[in-house]
Amino acid sequence: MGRLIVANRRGHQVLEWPDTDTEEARQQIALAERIIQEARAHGALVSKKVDGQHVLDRAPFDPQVEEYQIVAPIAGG
Amino acid sequence: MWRPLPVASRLATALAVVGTWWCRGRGRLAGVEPGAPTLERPWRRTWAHVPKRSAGADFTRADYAAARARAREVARATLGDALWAQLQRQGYLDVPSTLQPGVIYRLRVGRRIEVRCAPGVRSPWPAPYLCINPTYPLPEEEFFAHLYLYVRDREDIVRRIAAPQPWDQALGRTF
Repeated sequence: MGRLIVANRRGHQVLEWPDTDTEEARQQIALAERIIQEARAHGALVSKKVDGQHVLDRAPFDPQVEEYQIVAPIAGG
Repeated sequence: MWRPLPVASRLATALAVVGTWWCRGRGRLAGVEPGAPTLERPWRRTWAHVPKRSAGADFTRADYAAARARAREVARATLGDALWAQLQRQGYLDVPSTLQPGVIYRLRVGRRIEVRCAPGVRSPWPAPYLCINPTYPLPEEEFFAHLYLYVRDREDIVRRIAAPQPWDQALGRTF
């Protein structure tokens, strides 16, 4: 099971996709990829879980990753 | 012929509908199916009109409490148990600069970053605090975890956008 955490004022919301090769899984994976692309286009960064800890990641979306997170864009002041 | 359902049956039906909706919303995604909770993509909106330390006029006390609880959960998962425990124990996390030896960024939840320098090391900024906010409202523990990732993994961005300030203060875009 993969998951994408979208941090927002609600704390966060989660999109999950199963490991199975089903139409539902493909739809969820495609949606996760679109959300990540959209967030990056608006200045957000993306982290992925590696060895129990998140690290910022610039690689293309990989549905085999256990967990992604959208990291908010930042501004000074 | 249509007949009104007995009260208990109507209640059971209503609970089943709500239960299905809830499970669907939690397990899949918000925003995919009609009736499911909408996934909020905050980068799609502007937030300049929202007062400081606020999530917006539509947020209730219960919304704040729920958001902060979820934020705590995800901040812990983002940092990992060891760093989370360290933060709870000492109230801050120190992140050494990878670009300038002797410079340390001290991160505290909901506050500006404090820049600390070893003896003989000159700070790259004229003031000891750096003001950095998310571009949309976030619970402060959630943003703390994000800021930690920025400082540790993308210090170049932090150096480019940070606004140096002479005093400490709560961040304006977190709550």
